[in-house]
Amino acid sequence: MRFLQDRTAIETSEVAVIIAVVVLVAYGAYQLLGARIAQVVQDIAGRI
Amino acid sequence: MLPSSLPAQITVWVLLLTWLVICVIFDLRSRQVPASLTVLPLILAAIWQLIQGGWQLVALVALLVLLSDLPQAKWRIPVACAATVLGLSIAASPSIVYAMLVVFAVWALWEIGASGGADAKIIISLVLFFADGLLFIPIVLVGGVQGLVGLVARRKTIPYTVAIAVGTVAWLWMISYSG
Repeated sequence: MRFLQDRTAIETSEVAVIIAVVVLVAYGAYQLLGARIAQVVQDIAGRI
Repeated sequence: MLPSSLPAQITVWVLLLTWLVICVIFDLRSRQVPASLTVLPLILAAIWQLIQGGWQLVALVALLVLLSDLPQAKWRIPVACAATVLGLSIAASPSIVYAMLVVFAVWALWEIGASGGADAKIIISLVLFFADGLLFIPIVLVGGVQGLVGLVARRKTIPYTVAIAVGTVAWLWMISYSG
C-alpha cells in the first residue's frame, strides 16, 4: 500500500505558510459566519 | 478522546510526546520516519477510535489508504472527496466531522505531493486518537511560522514533524486549560 509504505518526511516550506494562511482564514470565517450559515441552511430546509 | 482519570491522561501524554520526539529525531537525522513509528500508531489509534465508537472516521481512513493505490491517479482525489462527503453525512458528532475534513485534507496534501507520507500518517494517527480535527489548527500554525522562518532565513531545514510535535503540545495545553 503506497500510503502506508511512504516513509518520507518533508521540511517546512512555502506550502506550509500557504496552508497555515488558508486554515486560519477558513477557521476565522467559520467563527464569524458559522452560526449565520447554519441559520440560513435551517431556513431553507424549513421552507422546503 | 482522552481517558477520564488524571493518571491515565498523564500516561497517555507522556507516551504520545515520547513517540513524537522519537519521530522528530528520526526526521532530523534522515528526513524519514520508519514505518514502524507511523503505521503501528496509525493502527493502534484506529483500534482506539473503533472502541470509542467512531467507526465512520476509521472507515474513511481505511478507504483513503486503499484509494492511494487506485491505478487511475486522476480519479483518486475526486473519489476520496466523494467518500468524504458520504462520510460527513453519517458522522456521529461535529468533532467527527472536523476530524474527517482534516483526514481528507492531510491525505489530499500527501496525494498531490505537498506533504510526506510519514507526516501525513502521524497527523492522521493523532486525529484518529483524539477524534478532533481542531488539533490540526495549532499544527498548521506552527508549521506556518516554521515556513516563514525558513523563508526569511532562505533555508528549508526545519522538519514538519517539529511543527506536529509542538502543535500537539500546544493543543494538549489548550484543552487541559479549557477543561
